[in-house]
Amino acid sequence: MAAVPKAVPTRAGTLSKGARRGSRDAVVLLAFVLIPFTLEMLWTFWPALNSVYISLTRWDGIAPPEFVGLDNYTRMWSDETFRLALRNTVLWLVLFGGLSVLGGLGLALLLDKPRKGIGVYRAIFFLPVVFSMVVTALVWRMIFQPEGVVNGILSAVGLEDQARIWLGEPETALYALIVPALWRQIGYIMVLFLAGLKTVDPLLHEAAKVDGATAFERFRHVTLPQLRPITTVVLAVTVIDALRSFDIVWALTKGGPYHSSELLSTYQFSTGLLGSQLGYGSALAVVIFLLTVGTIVVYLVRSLRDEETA
Amino acid sequence: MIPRLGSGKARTLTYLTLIAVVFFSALPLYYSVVVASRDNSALADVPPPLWPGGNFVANVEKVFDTVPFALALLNSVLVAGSIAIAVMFFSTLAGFAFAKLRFRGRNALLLITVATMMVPTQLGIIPLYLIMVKLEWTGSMYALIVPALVNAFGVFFMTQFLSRALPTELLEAGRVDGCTTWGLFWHVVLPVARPAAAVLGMLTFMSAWNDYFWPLVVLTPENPTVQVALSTLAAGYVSDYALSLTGTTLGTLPLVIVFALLGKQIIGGIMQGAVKG
Repeated sequence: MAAVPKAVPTRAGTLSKGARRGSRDAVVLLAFVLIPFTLEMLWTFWPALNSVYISLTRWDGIAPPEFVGLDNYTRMWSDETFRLALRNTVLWLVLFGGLSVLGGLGLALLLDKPRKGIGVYRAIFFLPVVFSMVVTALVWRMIFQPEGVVNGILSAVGLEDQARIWLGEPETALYALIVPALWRQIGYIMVLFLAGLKTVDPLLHEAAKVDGATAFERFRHVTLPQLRPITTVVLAVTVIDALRSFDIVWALTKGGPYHSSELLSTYQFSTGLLGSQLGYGSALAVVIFLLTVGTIVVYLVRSLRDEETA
Repeated sequence: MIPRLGSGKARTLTYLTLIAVVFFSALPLYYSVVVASRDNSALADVPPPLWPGGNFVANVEKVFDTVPFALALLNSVLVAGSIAIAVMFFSTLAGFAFAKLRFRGRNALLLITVATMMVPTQLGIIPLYLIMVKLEWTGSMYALIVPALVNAFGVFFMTQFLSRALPTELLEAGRVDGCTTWGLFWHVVLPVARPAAAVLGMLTFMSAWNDYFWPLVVLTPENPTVQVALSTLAAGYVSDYALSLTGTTLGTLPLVIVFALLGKQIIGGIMQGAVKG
């Protein structure tokens, strides 16, 4: 496949003059971009901006909102549940994000080369992605229940004393939630990496091999650098997905017991929407947004610097 | 490209890993089918049942009696279908413009679009809900469809795909033949964009079908989507797993069928995008 000549137009290759030919054409062009853009502004940007404003008010959704400046944000410092939710969210980002990227990359590497039944493996690994978080949650609630599969296996191998109510105990709830979340995410990340691996030039591998590079060295110095564009996409997707994770947690524990599996997203939902503290809830959403942007920007800056020094 | 598996030991290890992952991926799904086809009491059986039982049809009837499941299926098809079509259409339009046409403010517009990807659902949800109340769309499918007609990921995805897959020479040839921008889009861009648009459509359909957070906020149990109906099923005081998992199986079946029919194209299409790069 690599032998097929590729048409890779550079930026210089974009159409220029033609696009501006004729006023009707210009109108069409404007519509191409502006219709989607306007819709996006209306339904994503505008509500988000509004949220930022609401986060500066105290508001129960009924009486008119009262402007309180940064009160909602200072309140977070003394809010123990917030600190717990923040800690859990960061832990979730590191564990869920880290393990899904590593797992997805590992599986993609295993399934990249021709192998008997490869299509079947890919399909099976991707299957959990088809299932919604609600469905995933149901299945795993059953697996984790007191008489469920996990405890069954534990007692079968003689570890009865390790059996517990995985989702019902503060020590294990958060970790038990990460398993089903990973179960669903790894297949998705795998597909993204598989796509990226297709762009790795096999000739480079051959050359490195001739030069006596070990398998690990080839992975480190040939595969990884060429994967960089897709890695950036994967990391952005992962950070975004990890920080907005809500469904699985809400469906399984609602953040409990005793907030032990509370994430910022579930806390935002329970205080903001269920608890009618719209101002505080919006402030929590702003924090989620800042965490997302912050993490991605830090990553992008670092990877740009790496590229410069490389 | 992975390290070649020279020794037999490494190969055995690879296959053991693959088999373990197959179990991890497929077993929970298989187990849910087993439970869905049995009585709820079967869950407490020791040892747990390993094969599907004969209770599936009875469970299905019970699901339809407990929640408006037919309505939920219809709603989900309507919502996910219209969102997928709209997203494919608008993303291809905007993707073409961003990838191949030069106009003032292009980079700024593209940057803003990509930045919207980072806005978490939670951030806009309260104002969006208030808008829906004002429009009196709460409880209606408009509340799900209209805000989802465009998404930033789709625009970004199609821009990336078209900037690589669409030869500029082809567009120039079209220009020489006197095509307008609209004509170019219709006759040149669409055929090239089809595989990626199909992938985007499938992914969008899937995520719209599976969306939970926003429908939970804005819909009522009386007029639900599949996911909302499922969560109603699961929310009873006594968890009837057989019932919930029957609903689950029913609610996922349409996706599995579509995926079985188009799965190869989805995964293949995602890769094609990369291969052409």
